[in-house]
Amino acid sequence: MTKQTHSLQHSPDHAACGCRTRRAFLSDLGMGFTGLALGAMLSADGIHAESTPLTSNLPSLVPHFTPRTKSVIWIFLSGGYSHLETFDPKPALNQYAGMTFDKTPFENPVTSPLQKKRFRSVLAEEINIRDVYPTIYPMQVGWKKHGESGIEVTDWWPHLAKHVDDLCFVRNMWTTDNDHAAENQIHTGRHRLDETQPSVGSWINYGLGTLNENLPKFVVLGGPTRSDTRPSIDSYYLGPQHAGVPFSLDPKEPLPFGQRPAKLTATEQQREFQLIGKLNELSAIEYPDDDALRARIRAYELAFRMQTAVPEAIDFGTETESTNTLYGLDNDATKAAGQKLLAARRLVERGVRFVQVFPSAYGTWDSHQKLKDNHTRLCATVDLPVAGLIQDLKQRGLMDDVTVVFCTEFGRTPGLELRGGGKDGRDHHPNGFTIWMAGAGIKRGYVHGATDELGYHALGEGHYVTDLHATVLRLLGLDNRRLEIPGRKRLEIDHGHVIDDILTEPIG
Amino acid sequence: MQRQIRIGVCVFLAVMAMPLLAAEPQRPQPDATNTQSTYNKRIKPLLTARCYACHGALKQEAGLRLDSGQSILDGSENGPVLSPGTAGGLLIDRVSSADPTRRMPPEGELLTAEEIALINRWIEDGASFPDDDQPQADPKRHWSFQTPKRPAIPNLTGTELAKHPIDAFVIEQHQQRLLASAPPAPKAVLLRRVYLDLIGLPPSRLDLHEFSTDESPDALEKVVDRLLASPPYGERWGRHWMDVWRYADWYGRRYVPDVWNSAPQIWRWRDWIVKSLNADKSYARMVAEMLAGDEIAPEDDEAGYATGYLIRNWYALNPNDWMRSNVEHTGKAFLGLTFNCAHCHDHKYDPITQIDYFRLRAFFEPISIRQDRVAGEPDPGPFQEYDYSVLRKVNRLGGVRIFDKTPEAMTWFYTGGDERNRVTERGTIAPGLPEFLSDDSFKITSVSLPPQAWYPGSRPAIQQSVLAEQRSALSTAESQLPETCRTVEAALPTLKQQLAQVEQEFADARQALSITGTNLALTGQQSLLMDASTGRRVVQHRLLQLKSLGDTTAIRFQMQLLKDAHVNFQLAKDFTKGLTAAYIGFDQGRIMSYQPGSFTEFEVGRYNVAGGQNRFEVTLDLRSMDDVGLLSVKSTSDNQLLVDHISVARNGWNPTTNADQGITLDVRTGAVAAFDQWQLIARTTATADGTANATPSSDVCVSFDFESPRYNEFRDVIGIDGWFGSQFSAAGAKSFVTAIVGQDSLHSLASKLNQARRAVDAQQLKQKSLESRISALQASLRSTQARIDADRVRHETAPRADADEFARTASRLHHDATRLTAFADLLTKDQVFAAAEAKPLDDANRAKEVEAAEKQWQAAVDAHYRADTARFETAQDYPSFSPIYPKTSTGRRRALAEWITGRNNPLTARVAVNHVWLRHFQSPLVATVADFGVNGSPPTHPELLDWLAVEFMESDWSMKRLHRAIVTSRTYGKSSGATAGNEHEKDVDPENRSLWRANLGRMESEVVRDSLMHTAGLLDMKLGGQELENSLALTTWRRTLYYSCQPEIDGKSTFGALFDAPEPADCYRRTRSIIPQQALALTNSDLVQQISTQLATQLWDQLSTQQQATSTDFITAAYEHILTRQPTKQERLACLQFLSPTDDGQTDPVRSRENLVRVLLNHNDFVAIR
Repeated sequence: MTKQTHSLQHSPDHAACGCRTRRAFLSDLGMGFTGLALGAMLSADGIHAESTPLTSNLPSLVPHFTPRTKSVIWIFLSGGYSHLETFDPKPALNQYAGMTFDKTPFENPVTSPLQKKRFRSVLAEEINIRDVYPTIYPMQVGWKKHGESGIEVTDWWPHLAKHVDDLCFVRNMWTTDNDHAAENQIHTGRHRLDETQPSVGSWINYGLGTLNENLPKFVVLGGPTRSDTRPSIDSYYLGPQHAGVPFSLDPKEPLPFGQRPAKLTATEQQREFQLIGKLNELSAIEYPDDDALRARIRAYELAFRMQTAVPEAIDFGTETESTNTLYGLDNDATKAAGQKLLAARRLVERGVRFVQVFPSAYGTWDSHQKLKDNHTRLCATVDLPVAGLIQDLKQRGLMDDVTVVFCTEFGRTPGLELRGGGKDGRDHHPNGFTIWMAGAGIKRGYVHGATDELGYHALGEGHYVTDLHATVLRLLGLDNRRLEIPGRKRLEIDHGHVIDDILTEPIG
Repeated sequence: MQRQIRIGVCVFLAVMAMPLLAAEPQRPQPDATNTQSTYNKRIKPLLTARCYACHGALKQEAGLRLDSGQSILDGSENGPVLSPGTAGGLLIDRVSSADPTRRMPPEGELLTAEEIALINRWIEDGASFPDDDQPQADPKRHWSFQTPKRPAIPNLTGTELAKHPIDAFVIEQHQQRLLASAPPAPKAVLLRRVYLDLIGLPPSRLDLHEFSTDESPDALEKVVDRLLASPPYGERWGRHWMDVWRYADWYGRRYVPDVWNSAPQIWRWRDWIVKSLNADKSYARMVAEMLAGDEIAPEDDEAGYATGYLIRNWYALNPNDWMRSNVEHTGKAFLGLTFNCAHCHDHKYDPITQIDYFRLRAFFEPISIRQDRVAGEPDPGPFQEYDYSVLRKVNRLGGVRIFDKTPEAMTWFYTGGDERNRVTERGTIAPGLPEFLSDDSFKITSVSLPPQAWYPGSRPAIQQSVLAEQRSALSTAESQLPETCRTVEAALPTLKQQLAQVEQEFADARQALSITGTNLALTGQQSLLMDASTGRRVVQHRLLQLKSLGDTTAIRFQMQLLKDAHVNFQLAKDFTKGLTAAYIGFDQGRIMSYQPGSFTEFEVGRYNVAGGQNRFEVTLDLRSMDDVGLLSVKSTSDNQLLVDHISVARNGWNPTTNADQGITLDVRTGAVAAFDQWQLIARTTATADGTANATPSSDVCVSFDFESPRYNEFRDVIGIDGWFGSQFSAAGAKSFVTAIVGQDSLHSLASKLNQARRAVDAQQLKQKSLESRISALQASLRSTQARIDADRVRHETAPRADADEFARTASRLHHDATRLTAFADLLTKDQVFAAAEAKPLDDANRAKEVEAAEKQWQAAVDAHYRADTARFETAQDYPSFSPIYPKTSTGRRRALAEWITGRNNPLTARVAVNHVWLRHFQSPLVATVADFGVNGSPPTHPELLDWLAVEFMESDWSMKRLHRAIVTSRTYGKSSGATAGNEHEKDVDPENRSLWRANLGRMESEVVRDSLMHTAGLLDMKLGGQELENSLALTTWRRTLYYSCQPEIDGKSTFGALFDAPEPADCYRRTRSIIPQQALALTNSDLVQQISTQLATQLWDQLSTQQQATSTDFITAAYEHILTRQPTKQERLACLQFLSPTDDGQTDPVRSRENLVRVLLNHNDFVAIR
């Protein structure tokens, strides 16, 4: 067989679709061993997907739009806080308390077509039909208008209420799962009965470059607190390298195997890492086009540095006393949430792109009974620390670099839950709930959307949970419609729509 | 679920602006070539992406096709959609319409203003397209839907390298594309590659030396044959197929734990996979057994376990979800078809209609899960279906398998992927093949199952296993008897003596009270005293001896109130649920009952205790026709009628139809009452006024007089004559039979007496309970044998005249055994109860223990009573050895399996060989391994794929033959590193699609862990068994596939997750990452520390003293052992330097060697597959 001589021929140009293959790119430059540095740089934070179905579609890690924010702190309160008793108070509930929906002057929300559209039980109907409770339960707390914006917030948020002019509320969110798998749904965009999708954080991890090579781009604090809510930080077909990395708040062992074994001296380990590097580099000379080897060399360099960088990032030793007080670290009620939020601030300061914070354990906010007691106590655990975070971000000038999301999986029913002789609680409510955002790219002191007079249905089209994803991704400069990989068709529902109205200016 | 599409304001503007654009004066004249090029580059791709699904080869909505320039011009059934040269037209109108019902496309994002303008300009410019423009090909003609035919092997004469068919196909493509091949891999590299590939473990130094020195031409073949014959092969490739078949151990809510998905016994399916592969079972047979093992091999348990494939998809909460997974993954795993896309609508690319989707579902509709007992193991009991708010326990016993439970189950068509949107008008959907792959010979015939399949308990092994269990229990009990007798005999004299003393004391005290002649009982000598001075006492009776209940039946009893608080008598609606039917309450002077037809209390009369009214006769005449009772209460103290024939509720009470109905006596805190002469009177002739006067005693059908000898004084009524205690009792209260009602001074002595009696009982019961246990086990053995005999006779093909006789014997012996077993249980519980009561009265724990023991004893009393009364039932029934299932199976899944694995199925073999190829070459021939449809990737080597598929089918789907063919090819044996001579290939085929070299691989997570452990000789090579928890994965040594694999957090070990452990929900192809945390795991984990220490010592100890003199041999040994190769000169130098003492570094040579071993375990070449 004869071999034809070719002039130096370049790989097909994929510039039209903006996704040239990495391998093609490397070989275009005729890179040998000298290309190592660039190769490593392209593999960003030492993370490299080889020979996956994505090979030829690795994201460019270049934003699609000019980003409006660098990092996102995503605070998730598990169990479903009552939108009514937090950020969407409804006078009609007091006015018509004890009355059934059909007796009020309003349209009966239960008979609305929206009821079925935005409510899908995991349990088959032949197994269990979930009751809808129609008797109106009055507001369990008072509320006031706050700040110049005059936004209503209930009296359980005295500290946060002071910052209301910095917050932007979205009061017409909806989801479809009326059970706690909705915790996964708000993070993945899919109902329990649908095929699971990568979580919002993992798409960001996949699509964005790093700002700090020594730390992961996607860090999780305090969760997920239950084994079956792993999808909320997972990456599925994007590969585990894009999943959230849970950090423990113990600086001694913030991540698994993150600490040099006690029996090894620092020098000893350094010598080992040096020799690993040296031997792998000798291999790299022999296999000049082995991308995986280069990535591995880089991964070892990073691993060595992570051993110090990660503990440093969550070590509060350098924080001042006043900062500690600001986050409520000096108080047992607020300490747990405060530590996580302070750690989150330290991580975004160091360039982590997405910090997913679980201030409370799985199902904590679930208040089928004793809603007043539960919410009084629970609001007091996060009100001060979250307010502290906002104030801290402001005083550090980070409100233009960081966006905060504060959310839960669903709201709670305007009706009184009667199950098991219930007399003082509300059931799960996917049909309408409230989240808020603050910081970079987000309007301040603004309310977007509303629920009906009874707080039942999100009005208008409302916002399905992926609208939140689209918005967050857009702020980071990403178009989620361009984050798709072959063989993994994303549906319309997965993409969501940017909530343009809450942005300070249109993006893209 | 699709969201409604928003109306974009910007689109409006764009549409409005269009005429302006069109009228722009300075536009250059359109150039046909440009327009055609625009069509090809921009218009056609846009139409392909957004319009073809409905206006292409698959569908022609409104008669319109948009998949070629000509068909666009041809327009729709409504006429032309555009006019070349003139902007606008129907097409533009529809894509830019503001009306959501008109606007195209109906789903997904709107076309952007830019896209619309582009189309409009193309129309304006003449809508021209190249002459060679072709419409979309007919999807039914898609390559993978055609049955593969064996392609001719390319005849590449003169090419020695192309002798192997695989090489011939590959080289032919190289020749066509003018590519050169990489050289063969070095022998050591090939050896490591083939070991890791076939068994997932690296070769030893010895293997390396042996292979390196074997110059024979079949050196590789020998190694391959040896590896394929070794059990680790099945584990290695078993894990691969577990990826494709979505193996998952049970999950749901692991933290509860509550089983919602898969099953705790699913590991038997995993073991079946490993065994089948090691036995080289044909792939076709494996697929068939997984889908229909119960139908094609109904007597083969292992084939039953194979249906774990379907059980894995099970979701307790929603059967529709189970069906969805079965359809989706049967489509993807075996056929490479994305049926799931047709769940909500007809497939957008493939000719799979939504109805085809439901037809496929219908094959699975009748299925359910059962768990069969495994011989030699305890009975797992029936499979636990989901019940809202009941935990599904982790049951590890038995083997789970699929069976057709509901042959008549109906499959309904529904829309939008939501089963609530059932379209009943369409009728039910029958099972069937997708229309485009239909096969005339396809037929479903039902399967008549052998008895062993529909009655698994009829298997001799199961029956013998029951016998063996009972024999073993019997011999254990018998062996314990002599020792028990000895201890009891030793203890009794003292206890009896103590009892005699207390008895004397009690008799004296009673004498002193001079009450011998004073009978305080209501009637006869004794009454039932219920004392709830503290606590609450509720005793019940089922009245099982009552055989019928006439319309004129009366209940009558005597009662005395010693302390008035609250006492009631109830007709029980349901004992187990604690429901009441009717009641008569004596509540601080008021007599209460329920109003007829309700559970609403009302006052029927009053009594005056202070005034001396404390003894009563209560009569309740039951009128079932009116569902009422006529209540009469007479104060016997002063003969006054307090309540006279007042109608009270009966609420359907009838104990003869429901064993859970009966009567209840309830004495609540503060009350003390005595009951006597309880009678149920069935009058043969009703009196004229229907009252209970002048009742002949012969009409009394149930009576409790609480007299000796049946009722012994001071003994609790519970346990006697069918009386049992209720869960509603509260500690502290008593219910016992006595003659000395009201004599409080005797009570403390009575307690002492009871304690002394129970101390004797406790000893005697030890022996008695053991003896009765022995009798019970003997009876059980007789019963089991009789049941086996009766079963045999019953299931013989020729009917036998004496079958009924056998059944009667079995039934009788079964009831005997049940009764005796219940009695032995009762004595056992009584022994515990007696031991608690025998404790000193001042023992702090006594009350608590007595209460707990009494509860259990009460339950045993109840159970014994039921078993005892059951013997009166004459029946030929006896319990079977297992549940009995339907005797036929629909045969649907067998038909499906036969079609899937048939020679004419175009997809099955191609999909399978592609999966195998992927795992040998790190890269498949068809990149979309689970989608061979129109939107999937085309094969890189179509002919090779077909040759492999046909060869596979024609060699009886033998996987080992396929592996052997692949790994002995030169294509497989090439070097993965490109040499200087391959610059051209790197340039034109950087992705190595033409296989001009080998692909680099990386150990899968299992191989990383297994190889680490194996390298240090730690790996435990035991095969099979129940899954292990991941928390043990770094401290125990079994192969990784035996650790739990499920989608929750503990479904992967920390180590496994870092190295891309499979995603149990969907892992047709693994991802492979390189992250810093992997480096941390391989350097910092205790596991690697331990392995390094052990391995360094092992390697050192294997060296001779002479070899130990320098470090060189150690370095070589370590390289050979860990990396299967010798170090290069430079590497050796670097390692030597590392081992030599330095000022600042490690000076301890032992530690240095450990360090070096750890370094080599972290070498890229350890985890990389070159």
